Amino acid sequence: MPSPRPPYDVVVVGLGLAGLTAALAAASRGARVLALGKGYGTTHFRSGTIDVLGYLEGGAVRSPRPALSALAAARPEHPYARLGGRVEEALSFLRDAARGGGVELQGGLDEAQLVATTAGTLRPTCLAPTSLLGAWDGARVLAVGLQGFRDFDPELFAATLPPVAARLGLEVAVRPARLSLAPLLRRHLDGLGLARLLDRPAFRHQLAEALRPLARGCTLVALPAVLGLEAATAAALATELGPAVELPTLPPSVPGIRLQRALERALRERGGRVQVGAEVRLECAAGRARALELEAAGRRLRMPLRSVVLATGGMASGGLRLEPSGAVVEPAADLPVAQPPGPPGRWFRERFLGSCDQAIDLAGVRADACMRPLDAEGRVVIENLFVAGGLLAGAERSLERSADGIACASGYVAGLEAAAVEATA
Amino acid sequence: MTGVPLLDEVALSADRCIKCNVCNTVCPVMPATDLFPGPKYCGPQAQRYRLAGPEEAWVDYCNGCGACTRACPSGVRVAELNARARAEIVARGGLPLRNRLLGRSELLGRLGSPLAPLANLGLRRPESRALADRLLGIHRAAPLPAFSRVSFRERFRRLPRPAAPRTTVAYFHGCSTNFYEPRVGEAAVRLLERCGVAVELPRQHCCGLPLISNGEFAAARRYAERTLRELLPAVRAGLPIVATSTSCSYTLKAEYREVLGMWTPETAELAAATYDLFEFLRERVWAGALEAPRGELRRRVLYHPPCQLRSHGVGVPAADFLAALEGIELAESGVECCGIGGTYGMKSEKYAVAQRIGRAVAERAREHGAEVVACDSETCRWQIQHLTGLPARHPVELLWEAVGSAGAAP
Repeated sequence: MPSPRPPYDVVVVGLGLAGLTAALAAASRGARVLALGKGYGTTHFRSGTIDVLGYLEGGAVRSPRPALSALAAARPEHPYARLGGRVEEALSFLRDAARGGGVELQGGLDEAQLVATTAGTLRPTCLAPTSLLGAWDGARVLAVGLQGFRDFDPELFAATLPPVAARLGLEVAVRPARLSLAPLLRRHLDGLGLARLLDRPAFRHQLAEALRPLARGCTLVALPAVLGLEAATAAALATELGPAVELPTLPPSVPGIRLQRALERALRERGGRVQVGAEVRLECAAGRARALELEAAGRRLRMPLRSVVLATGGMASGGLRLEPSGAVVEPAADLPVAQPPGPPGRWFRERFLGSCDQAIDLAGVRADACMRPLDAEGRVVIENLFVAGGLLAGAERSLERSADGIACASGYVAGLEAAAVEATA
Repeated sequence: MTGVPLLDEVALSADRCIKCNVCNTVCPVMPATDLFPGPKYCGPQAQRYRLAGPEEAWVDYCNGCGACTRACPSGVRVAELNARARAEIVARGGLPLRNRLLGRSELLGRLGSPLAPLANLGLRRPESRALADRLLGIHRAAPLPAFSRVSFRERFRRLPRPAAPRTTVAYFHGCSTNFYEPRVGEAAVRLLERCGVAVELPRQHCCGLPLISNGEFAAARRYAERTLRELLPAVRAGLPIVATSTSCSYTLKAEYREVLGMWTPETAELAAATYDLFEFLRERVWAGALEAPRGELRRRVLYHPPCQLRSHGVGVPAADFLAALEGIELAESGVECCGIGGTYGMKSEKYAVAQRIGRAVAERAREHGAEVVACDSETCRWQIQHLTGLPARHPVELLWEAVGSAGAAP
């Protein structure tokens, strides 16, 4: 029997923030990396910011560092209880990787950043791309709606933001404006089309020229987050126009795509490969992940494995599945899943969004400090498999605004650990 | 009217669309023209109304690259839905002669090859190209191949066979290897021989892909039936079907079923037995049954994986073999699509769109300082050659260039 030869040192399953961070971390240790996923997802839906911990016990977190320690101490089952010490290192790694791909992320654990939304609210985040950050306090803002683009209403924004800001002790005045430019009068106009238009210097110039008279007396121009798929576009517009800020819109999220592309580019530059459109299952035996079964055209492909990172996401991404029987399962490797607390009837609250918890969110895979999956008795079940991101049990990501920090820190640790797995005969 | 089942898994996948627009973010056509509003609008969104009314003509601007299907996080078969919608238009409204011609690459090959010098002269002369542009709608500057005087099948007889083969495969060469680029088949057979693999050449005809992408489903189905008749005996004798054109092999693996809707045990049997050449060799390397062939290639190479290969879901096996060569300066293009879309970029009204899409490949080649571009599908190679002015070769040609000169393996 010939011995199988794993073609990659580390295979990462999942192309969201956790998967990309894991792949980058493994590649940074010289590992040959393949990152694959069934499609693009969360990065294209989220706003390109890195939320580490936005709310704790219902209150906004002003300084993430002490809040992280408090959370880790109070909730031993929370992923941050195992990752807490690595979060800062992971964020700094991510910041460098994103910079390598052209996206500058600002901020850190000392002070939360505030990002304005198209609805005119201000929400806390930890790292944000430069173009999403504005000098809000004392600002006189021109909020610009673009003809034909329905996802941003400058009047709504102008009515909402000043009182919201006042509650945070910030003084903001907003003047709404609508702009109609010939290239915008097209049949189909979404954020993506706008971003592509703005990547063209000629249109960028036309927009800046049209905005300049309107922006007289303003300190900041707020536009929907469509300032280019290219990382340099927003800065180029600001050079022509003066300070500008992007407001994240509905998916597809242009800043989210920029971050994803920056990370993917950085990964390719480190020799990593990316494969989109692959559903996988893992073949595990005797405590090891032996092979990856890829759903390829016409048949299943069996790829021998050395080590693997599973970053397939939570319930919404298909990384976890709720069976009709009422059990939450992990379909790719049948990992043990910590079930939500209480009877299934109590797993869901009537309000999908809002300030109450959904117990279902707590379900997931439990992991040790190396991000190896654990069974109910706390034993490592598979030696060369690591989990990251939405799969991890114990977090209420939407309440805490913690999804990105967990993804980044767990991805970072999982990627480094996976790269350190020794080849076996 | 297209003979496609109304409610198969591909059609039903439209219901999984959550309108997240991820497909639109990867579509290479959308940024290149306003005539195509994007795979989401044409595919899952328009699909809801398709039973009732006429198709929107814009779907014809899809170039079939399949990026949308691969990127969809919800498993919607966007590209397949669009291909079927195009066929619906064709079935109702007919098809220009131009598309009927372009759909029949094998017929063109059979007519052109015996007259190769004359036919090639016609293909090169600006006067005849201008005429074809005006009369047929084949763009005068579009990249077209030159006919080969001697077909691959004729050359095959003279190629070496391994003395003690470890295994045997059946080779599916496709139309372009047979009529335009026999050197691709020749390199493949020689490389396989060097790897201890004997090659059989079953009787074969066009797989039907150009008909599928031009929306002629009835004719495509006849081609598919013929291909099944011709290849299944080899499959049932235990031979893998190995192909060098990743477009033809994807048709055998997936499109008979997922686009034409031929969900039969026979198409499943053929799909499961079909391999891209490098996928086949790589699987043997992974299993420990083959040493990757070694050789030296002191050239700067840009590798562009064709869209159809990406849809195979097997990664980029050719790049794995190229990367193992000594002295090679290899870069992968990282570009979604070269634009050609089979015969799409040859059409007068779509030529400019295809050129705009492909520009990124040319930029990437320049950045890398490439001397040659490697790509596994024929029409992509012709397009890339046209875009870059560089020679575009099938990876097996480069690999054989490196390995062949290295002498016999132990």
